[in-house]
Amino acid sequence: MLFSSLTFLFAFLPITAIFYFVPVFEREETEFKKKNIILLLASLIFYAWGEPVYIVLMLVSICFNYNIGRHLQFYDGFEKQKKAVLFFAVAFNLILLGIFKYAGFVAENVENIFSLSLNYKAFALPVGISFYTFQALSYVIDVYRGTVKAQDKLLPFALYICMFPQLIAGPIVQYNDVEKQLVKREISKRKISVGLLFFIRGLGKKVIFANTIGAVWSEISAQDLNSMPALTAWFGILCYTMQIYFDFSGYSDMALGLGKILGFDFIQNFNFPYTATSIKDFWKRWHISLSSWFRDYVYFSLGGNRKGSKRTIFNIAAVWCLTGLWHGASWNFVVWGAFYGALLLLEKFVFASVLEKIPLWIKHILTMVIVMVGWVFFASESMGSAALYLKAMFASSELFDTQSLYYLSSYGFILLVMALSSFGVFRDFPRFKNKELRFLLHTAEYILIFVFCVVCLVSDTYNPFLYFRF
Amino acid sequence: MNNNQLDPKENEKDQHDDSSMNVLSIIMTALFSLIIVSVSLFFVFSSDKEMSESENRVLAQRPALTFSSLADGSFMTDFESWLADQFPLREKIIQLKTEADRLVGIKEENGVYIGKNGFLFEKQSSYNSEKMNGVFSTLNSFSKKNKSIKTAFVLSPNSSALLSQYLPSFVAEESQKSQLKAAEEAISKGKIQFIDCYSVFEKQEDKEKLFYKTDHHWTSHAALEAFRALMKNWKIDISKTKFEFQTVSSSFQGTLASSSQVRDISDSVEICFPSEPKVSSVLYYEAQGTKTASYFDKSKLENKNHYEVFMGGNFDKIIISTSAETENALLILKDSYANCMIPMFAPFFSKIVVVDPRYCSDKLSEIMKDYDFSHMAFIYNLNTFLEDTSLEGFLKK
Repeated sequence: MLFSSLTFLFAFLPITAIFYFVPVFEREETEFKKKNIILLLASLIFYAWGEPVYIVLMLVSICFNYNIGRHLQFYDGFEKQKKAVLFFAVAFNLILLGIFKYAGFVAENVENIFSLSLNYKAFALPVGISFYTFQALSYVIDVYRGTVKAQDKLLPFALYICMFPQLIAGPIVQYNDVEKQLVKREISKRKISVGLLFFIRGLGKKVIFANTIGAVWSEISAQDLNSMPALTAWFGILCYTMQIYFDFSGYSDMALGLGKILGFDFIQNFNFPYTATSIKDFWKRWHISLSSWFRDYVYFSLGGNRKGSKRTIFNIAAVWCLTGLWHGASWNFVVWGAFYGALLLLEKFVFASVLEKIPLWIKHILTMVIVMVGWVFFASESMGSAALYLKAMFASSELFDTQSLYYLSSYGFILLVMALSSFGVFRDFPRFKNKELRFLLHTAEYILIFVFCVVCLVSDTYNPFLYFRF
Repeated sequence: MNNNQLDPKENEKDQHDDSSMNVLSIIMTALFSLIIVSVSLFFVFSSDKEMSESENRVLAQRPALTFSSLADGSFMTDFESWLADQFPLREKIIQLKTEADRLVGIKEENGVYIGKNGFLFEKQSSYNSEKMNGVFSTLNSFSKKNKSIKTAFVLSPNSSALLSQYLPSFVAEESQKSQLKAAEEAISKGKIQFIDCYSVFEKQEDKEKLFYKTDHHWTSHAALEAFRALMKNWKIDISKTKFEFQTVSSSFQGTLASSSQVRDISDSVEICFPSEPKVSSVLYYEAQGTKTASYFDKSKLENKNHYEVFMGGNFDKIIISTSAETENALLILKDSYANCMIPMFAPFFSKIVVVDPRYCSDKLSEIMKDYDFSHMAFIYNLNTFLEDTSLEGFLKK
């Protein structure tokens, strides 16, 4: 199920909320247990709604990693055994992820390299597997490292893995951030209303902004790249740049908001990434929970920067190729990751002194251009079409045509609004000192946004069938 | 959607000492819950609508919960379609969205350009040379086999070709003029006469009268001009016949209005028919088994699509017998553009067979055997003709 669906908004959400909030037990502990059971059931239904079969896979992952945690605790003090258990657990999780996410990609490459025909039929990608596998790994590694205690009850652990707000598209919550909240958490009126505002903001980002501009991108990217003028190409990738930000950060906001409504505090996943003034800065602001995960569990495990500069370079390169691969089983994601790895290395080791002297606004523009070039790799279906698209952007024979002007005049305004919004220009809007008045205006503003989201969702399904009916 | 001051830490800090904010929080949550719950309750208690007239389709109904529909996931998708299709105030909501889109500068909606002066335009289809060459060579070999029949092709441009000043700025479309030129060249290689409607329309003073603003069809005025050109080509004298126009509707919102949900303009529908000398006709809808004496089905004016007043809409085959004192018999292969032109033929042919190859399953060779046609006309509009997939096969049957 998607948050941005009518089913979620008008069936799942109200029903879950009623069961969750209407108190049944007087003892606080029992009431929280009830809330957790409701939340787990709701999460399973939420997942099964879109993936009735793959839910088994998620249940396997929950039971497996729960037991691993218990075993790691049991072998505390026996380093050898602990290491063996950890190795087994990491291998099992990665193999599971590998089979369902990367097997098709591997088979395809084996076929190409050895000119074989394997006739391998890849599985469909189970929704959320990349996210919940990484959460499970974070738990297992943290228990191994001793930074958290193993969870001895199955219910809170299952909730940690499959809680519906962050199940499908993150943020990747680390176990130590939510350990205590899994058993008992603060639920307040104030938190619920703030959560609602977060949720509506995310919904608006996704439904009003991302979907609208995404349609323009699909139209432009479907055109013949060989004859595309530069302006159309740049306009197109700008649309995608906005689409992916509002889509992803919108989803994170919705997760954050829903979490807050239920009493959880998740970390912010995005912090105005398009205001970044360097690549390093960008990755401190974009999909923060993923970069932290790779830093904490891959980069540090490889030794980080403590083993000399050669090793550091290798570590950074490895982490970024893997980050790329995490986004999808295809070479252009690897190239996209490697592209960022290379840029980060250049920033750190080659251009550090030069960059210090460049004015901030130039660095901002430079960063944005690099990020947009990066999105070309990310958005393209293959390396070949990425190359063609870059050619249209930088070496097109034509600067613009009538159609570029049509796009500009039709979507220029909303794109401008989106760009300004992604830079945080509308932050704190409206700016009133009086807190009550501000909140009231926000309430009105957000209710309007919500209503308009519903308008967009319903309109999307308008499907005239006019010319052919006999 | 501003990432704003709603910083959770700030909120938690003053949550205990700020009771007025607590009240506001409750109001906000209550308002939001009220919206959601009232929509949810609507779905619990409402009964489903069956049809959407503006979309011309059957709406999704409340899905039945069965084990198999759950297992294969069809229940879940049907459930979402049901909510979307039966949503309260659905039509109004969609119009609101169109208004909002126009406000921010978006100029097309569901493949329809929202032009100036209230004109809506279809997007122009592109000319697929390979496909069209196939169609034309079939047409030409067909005409060679039937040399004795005077055959003409009436190919009308679509409104944007003649009213391009009302298209939104910067719309880049394939030129209809060159599409029509290509068609003319290909057709002229065979025995079929090409009726150049574009040139005829271009000479008209009031071009706005030629097309509906809200519908993709031409008006009776355009049809009459095209008819004149056709008759001139066939050397049939129509000077003694008087054609009369009659307005039958002033509230027509056509397919383009339905597609785009732009609802602020209505068209008038005028019918045009030969009034003097009087000719009577009998129209026989063979497959439907109905007979009528009128080319105009006024009951259709009660529905949304008033263009269906002409001939009652599109039918596979209509056999018309008239009281005209002539041996001439006419075969028309057509799309819906022809519907408003057909009445004009009555005084000049005693038999008219109208076939829509999109719907007709009869064999063309047999239709031609049954009647001794003296004339034959293809009547199409450019967009439909470029997209058409039925004519070529029909000519080979």
